[in-house]
Amino acid sequence: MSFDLSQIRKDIWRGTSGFTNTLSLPTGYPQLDQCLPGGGWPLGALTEILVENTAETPLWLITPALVALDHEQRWQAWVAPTGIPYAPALANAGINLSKMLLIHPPARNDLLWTIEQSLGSNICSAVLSWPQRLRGTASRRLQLAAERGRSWGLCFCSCSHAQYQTMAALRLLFRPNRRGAEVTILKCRGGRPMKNLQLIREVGPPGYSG
Amino acid sequence: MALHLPLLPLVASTTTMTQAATVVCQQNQHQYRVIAANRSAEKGGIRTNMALSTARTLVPQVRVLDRDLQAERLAMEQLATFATAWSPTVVIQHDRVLLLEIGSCLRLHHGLPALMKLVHKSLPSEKLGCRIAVTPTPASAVLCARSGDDVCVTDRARLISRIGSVSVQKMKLTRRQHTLLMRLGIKHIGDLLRLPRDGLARRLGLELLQDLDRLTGKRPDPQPIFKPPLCFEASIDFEREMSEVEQLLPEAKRLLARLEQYLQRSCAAIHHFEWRLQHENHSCTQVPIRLSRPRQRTTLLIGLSQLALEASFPTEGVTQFALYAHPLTLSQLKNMSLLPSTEPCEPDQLLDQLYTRLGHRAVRSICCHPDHKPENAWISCQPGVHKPVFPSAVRPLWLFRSPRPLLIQNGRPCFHGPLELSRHERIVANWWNETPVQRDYYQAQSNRGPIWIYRELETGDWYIHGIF
Repeated sequence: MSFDLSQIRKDIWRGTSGFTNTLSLPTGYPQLDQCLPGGGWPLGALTEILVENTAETPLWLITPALVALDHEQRWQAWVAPTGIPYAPALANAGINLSKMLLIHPPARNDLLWTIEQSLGSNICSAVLSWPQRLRGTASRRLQLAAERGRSWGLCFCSCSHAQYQTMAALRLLFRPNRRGAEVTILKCRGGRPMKNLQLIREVGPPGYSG
Repeated sequence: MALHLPLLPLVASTTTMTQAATVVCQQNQHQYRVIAANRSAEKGGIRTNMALSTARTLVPQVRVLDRDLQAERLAMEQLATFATAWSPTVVIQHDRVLLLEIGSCLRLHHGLPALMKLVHKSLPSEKLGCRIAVTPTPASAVLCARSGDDVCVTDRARLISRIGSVSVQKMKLTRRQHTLLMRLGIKHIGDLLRLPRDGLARRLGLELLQDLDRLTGKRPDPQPIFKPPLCFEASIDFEREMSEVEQLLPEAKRLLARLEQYLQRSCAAIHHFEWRLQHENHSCTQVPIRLSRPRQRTTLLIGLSQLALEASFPTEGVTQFALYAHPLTLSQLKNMSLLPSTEPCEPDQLLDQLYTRLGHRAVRSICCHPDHKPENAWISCQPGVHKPVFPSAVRPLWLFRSPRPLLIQNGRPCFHGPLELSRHERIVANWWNETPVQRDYYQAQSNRGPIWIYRELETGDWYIHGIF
């Protein structure tokens, strides 16, 4: 007698299917979407992107998602960026500058507080932050705040901290190369870690011939 | 409705209420006279308007306070502001009388008895010795309240019979009028009303007749309406020094609750307010808080106050804690949407929190700026302000804070390996001011993706400016 439990109980998770109840946002890069559960960036959760040098942030990776979030009419907070999010280019890319907050907290304590408040306030659709490093308790608090505020929390950290555990729902190791980037999924809630995913950058900057 | 508060000077001149006999006196024509006496002083036989020396003979151990007119005026204004909750038309009459027009707001209070009950409940009647008179005309209400009884008359015919029994001495009379009336044997207002009007005007003057007409309502009697002042001050004194923010928070909550009550009464909102912490050595720490928009509810302000106080709490102990809010703006209530998602979110609450903890300069937004120099083509601006977007050439999303020099290998610039240059753009600008730019920009393909580099025309040095 064949007995399929999943026919009776829809809420039982089978390893292969992945979570379907979490909201997600297409990244704009199909190769990456295929590997992420829900087909994109997890919303209402914390995403950590580890880069070699946080002063060289690959904004191209996240701009399609930020543009897509614009229809929510909520704000987008940029907390302590290590460089200058360049207004003319962001406007060209389709980001609504009038809904952007640029926050430079004076001290590290203020930084974490600012990220938590912005995430949990339900006012920001996305909170981009550059905390350099993220550890257990702090990441847990930020993750909870992101859930509370239904916000996409995004942290750019240095890849030298890759070995430390954090509570982020998604952790990516990002290595840019000539054609795009090589992405390693270190941790992924509801999915599987994946090594050396080649991301080809077809969506260049507007008018870029590359 | 008139409220007479004979004991107000007593409450205003002292902060500690005692059961011991106390009088407040004022110098009047080279003689100190009693203005107000508390209950135990009255038991001893002291009456108002008595000379202080007489009072001292009656009760030798009586405590004497000087009249504080300034404090009295402030207390009166506070009471008047408080009374605007019952009626929009409040008048401060001289000599401790508050006048309220209540005819138009009886329905709001479900009738006169309910309103009387509310007034009695809200006022510390015992402490102020409050007398309430309700009559159809303002002048008669003041007269009745001052004569010392609680009166409640609503129709005009009964009013005339009620004020008829009041002594003429309670009216404003000149000495001549007074002696003349005594000589004529007229003791009550009723006797005056019965006299022929023309004779009365001839003998006692037209003004007395007009006063009588105001009493009975034959003559209109407009009053100057009290407007609550557009500022709020409240303070709390501590017996011992406070050195922790946590100790102040309950007091802050109490003061903010008073502020909210005040704001609702005067239909006002605050845009910024200030905490003042007084120290033992009379120095003062000011903690100002600005709000992104005027607010009437103060529930959010306690959180902001905590943030601000924590950020700038002084090392010395605090002996007095005060809240100042002014100027107040008239509140413009906005319609809220019924469905949560239909309207764009207002970031006020988050912004206020961020401003309070981080300061206004740390929280900005960005916008485009029409300048040829790439690092000047954007400026930070106030959040929530719509600025025009200018069309620009291809630009990198991420700019370095300052351009970094590139390594040169074999005469060519390098960034993590050799570069392929394309798309040349020459920017020569600002030669008309102090920050001239002469640069040749290139989009370059590196091993880390496309970057934006330039060559300084004057020096020939290569720099990386941003990444696409």
